Amino acid sequence: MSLPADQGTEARAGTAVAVTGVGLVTPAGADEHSFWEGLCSGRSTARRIEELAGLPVDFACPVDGIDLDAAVGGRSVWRMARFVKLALVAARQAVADAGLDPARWDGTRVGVVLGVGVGGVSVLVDNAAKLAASGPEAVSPLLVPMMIPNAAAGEVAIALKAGGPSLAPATACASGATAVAVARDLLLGGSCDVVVAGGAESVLTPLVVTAFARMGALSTRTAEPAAASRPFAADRDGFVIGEGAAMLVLEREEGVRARGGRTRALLAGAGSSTDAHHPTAPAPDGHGAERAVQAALDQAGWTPGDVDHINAHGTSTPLNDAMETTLISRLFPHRPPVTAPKGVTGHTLAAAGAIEAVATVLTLERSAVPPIANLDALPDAFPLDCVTKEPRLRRVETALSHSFGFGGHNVVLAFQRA
Amino acid sequence: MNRFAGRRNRKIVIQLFRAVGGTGFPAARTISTNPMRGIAMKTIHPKITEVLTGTFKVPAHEVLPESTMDSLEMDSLAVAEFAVIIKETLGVDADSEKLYKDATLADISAYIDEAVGSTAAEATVPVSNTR
Repeated sequence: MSLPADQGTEARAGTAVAVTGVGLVTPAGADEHSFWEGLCSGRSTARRIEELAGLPVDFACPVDGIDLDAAVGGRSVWRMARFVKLALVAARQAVADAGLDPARWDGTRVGVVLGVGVGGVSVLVDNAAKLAASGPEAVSPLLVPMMIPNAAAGEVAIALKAGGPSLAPATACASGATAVAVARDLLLGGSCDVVVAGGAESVLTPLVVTAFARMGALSTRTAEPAAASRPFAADRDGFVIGEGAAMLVLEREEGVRARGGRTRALLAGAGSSTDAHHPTAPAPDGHGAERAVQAALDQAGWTPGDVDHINAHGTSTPLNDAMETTLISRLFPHRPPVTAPKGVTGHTLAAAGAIEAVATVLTLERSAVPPIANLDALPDAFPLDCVTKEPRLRRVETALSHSFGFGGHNVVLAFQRA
Repeated sequence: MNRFAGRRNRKIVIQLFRAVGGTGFPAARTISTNPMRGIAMKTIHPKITEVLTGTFKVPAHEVLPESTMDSLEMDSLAVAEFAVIIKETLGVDADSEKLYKDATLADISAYIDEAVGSTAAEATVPVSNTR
């Protein structure tokens, strides 16, 4: 679409927030370019994991091909759980991409908002075993600072010399998107000039994977892991758990102009709501999520018909994808093309909203909508225009990214082409 | 502090007295001026080198007999974690604040050697071989 002259102008006239940098470490790639390539391939990254052998679900989407300790560098890696390392590498990428230098900025005006759903559970599990086997003296003095979910925000703030507000929102699978929404508020409220925001998660441990399996959330397609994550497919049977991190640098647009920076996309709006329905199941009619969509549209000054593309939450679970289909088909009868990155990346929990925010920014920039992995044909009951098999090349001016989390948290981010 | 700490510390102090010839803490100055301890002064227990360089990413060239945890930029949490690893791998118990925080690596090696007995002492290698 092209926005009418009177729409979107409010955002451009002083309340617009710009995305100036992105960074990510994902199962599909450990930098922006390899991630985009992986996403556009439409191939799932799920594989069997040795540590999960013998469990009901023995596969996941891990981050491969990067020496995280080397990427983090320095002397502090020993005190960082894996989710912190993922976050730190992504944050550094994003800041460098924005053309900013933490050695030169006024760190007191820089905020960090880093959503984490679970935290360092493998550290917790290891130390619980040590306590049981060897007593109190075997427990690491670093257990608490390593396992707390805000460890990532704290370490990123240290690394970036960011002395402004820092937060670790926990809205489960919407945490990364909540972080971006909170960053927008911090910028528009004047608390910060720069916010580094996103999400990170790494819980591919036997306990957590088994726990998700026990609640019936995971695909049990153990004979064929790479076919297991299939958002919106008729025979989907659950999500595939993944790990990763993504961070975005956000600034007020006038600030970007003043420093001669580059705007990659505009965050035109962010809407949040809560189902207030059930701890894990989405309200089936999608009315809770709809309020988040409406709030994002209102902030952006768009009508539903202005939306060119939807980056769906699309987890590959029966309940989410049914609810989201109902939601999208009801609100967007003009059938904007829909993608769902979790087919490729798996569900990276708190990182997902941030990874998909980056995917949406790249879609706007590159005029291509990545395909949904493992989706050959939609059932008749799914009146969506899902992109399948290969990227669909088309100019996209406006896009929404949906994120919905256990607890009933709904977050919708509205991005606009720069 | 747990209820066993006092008892453990008394045991450690006794061991340390043995390790440094009964002259007491701090061991660093005692060892470095004692010609009878010349061998210990120049050696670092290989586990110390391994843990410092492997886990704590201390540059190998800084791991010297006269280095202290402080000079290696090991803060109190790092030293406490170091003590947990030494306990886990060598079975040597220590109050990290009292025995490791301000001691030299030579002192710590001597203490560990004493605690684990002659088997570990034989495995101690000259510093030059650990770089």
